Amino acid sequence: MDPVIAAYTVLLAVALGLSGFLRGDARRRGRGLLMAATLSGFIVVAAASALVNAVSVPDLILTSLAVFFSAQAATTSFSLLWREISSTRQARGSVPDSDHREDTSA
Amino acid sequence: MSVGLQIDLVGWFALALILVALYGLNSEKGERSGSTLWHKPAIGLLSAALLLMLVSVLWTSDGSNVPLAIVMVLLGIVAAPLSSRYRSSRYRDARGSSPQRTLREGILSGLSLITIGTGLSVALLGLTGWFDMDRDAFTWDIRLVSVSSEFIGVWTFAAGLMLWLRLNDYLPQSSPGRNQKRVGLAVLALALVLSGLSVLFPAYASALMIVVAVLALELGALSALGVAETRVARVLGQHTGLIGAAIAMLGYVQASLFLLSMGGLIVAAAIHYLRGAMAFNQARRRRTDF
Repeated sequence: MDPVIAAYTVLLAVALGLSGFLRGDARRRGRGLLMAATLSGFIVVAAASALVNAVSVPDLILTSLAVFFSAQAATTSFSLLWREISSTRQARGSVPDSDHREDTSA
Repeated sequence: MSVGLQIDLVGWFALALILVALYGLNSEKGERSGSTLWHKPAIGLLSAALLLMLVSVLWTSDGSNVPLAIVMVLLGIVAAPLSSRYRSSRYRDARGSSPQRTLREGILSGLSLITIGTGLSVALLGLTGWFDMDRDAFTWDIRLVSVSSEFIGVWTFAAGLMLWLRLNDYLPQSSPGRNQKRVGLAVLALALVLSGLSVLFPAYASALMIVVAVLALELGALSALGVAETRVARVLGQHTGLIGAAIAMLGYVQASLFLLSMGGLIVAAAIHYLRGAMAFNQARRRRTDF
């Protein structure tokens, strides 16, 4: 792959992501972190593609372990994001709370 | 050197789904008017995109390793609730802290589990790239990608593991000192120099790689132990950004524009997160209940 095309793609994706995430609420950045974690669960795609292309036995072992751990991470991240979304309804109306202060003071 | 992944056609559709889902998750309008209508379908769209990509990867392969891949994915899905449930049941009795803090640390512990998993798989994929290379066609960019994903993966894995152990009270509470930070910087500089050497001099690269991996382990432990507990989320955010960079590099090796743009999106999300304070809705939720 052409490095120039790769660099352009990454740059465009970062710019798109930055401008898109700016729309979010500043008080709910925790959800932004959960979304980033969920997106990083897509590494299971890279791992699976490496696994189906593996030929030798050490490669098979390494890549299947990679698929296992990345699938676990992806599931955990999806369930965390789901819980965060589901609890939005209950959280609405309560006052902005202390885990703000906790983080900014450090 | 492309390993495969001729699936960028499907990748465009998946990317469109992901962007729509992120738009929905970020939208504020629904919440103000009293309904969170868009959020749950957005999660559905995200998982649909993930399934679509997985199916297309399995579909375009020659089929010999497909059963193994499916079994491994299913095993990972089954293992996820087991590994996270153990913690939450144990934790409540162990420490008499406020329920809100407990919930917040529960989320952070889940995030560190994610960091452990993704870090391990990035490290394993980097290792595969290292073993797999034909030494003659071993150009410097592939070597660079392999070394740096190994480094990022091991670092992230070690940091996630240490944070998980800390949040679960397996480790004593440590208070960070000034020296710890200095040692961490020194180890980081040493590791960067050694990885640069292993890229430039392929003859000694394998020995250097082992040293770099050990240094990355130590660096992860230092960076996780040398922070106050209130900054744990920030460390996790940094490592999520590093994972995004590693995914972009894997996309470069596998010649996939989809993975490149996913990596860019993750880096953007991590940067955006690191610039602000943090609050979790689910930690806020039960405050009125208890």
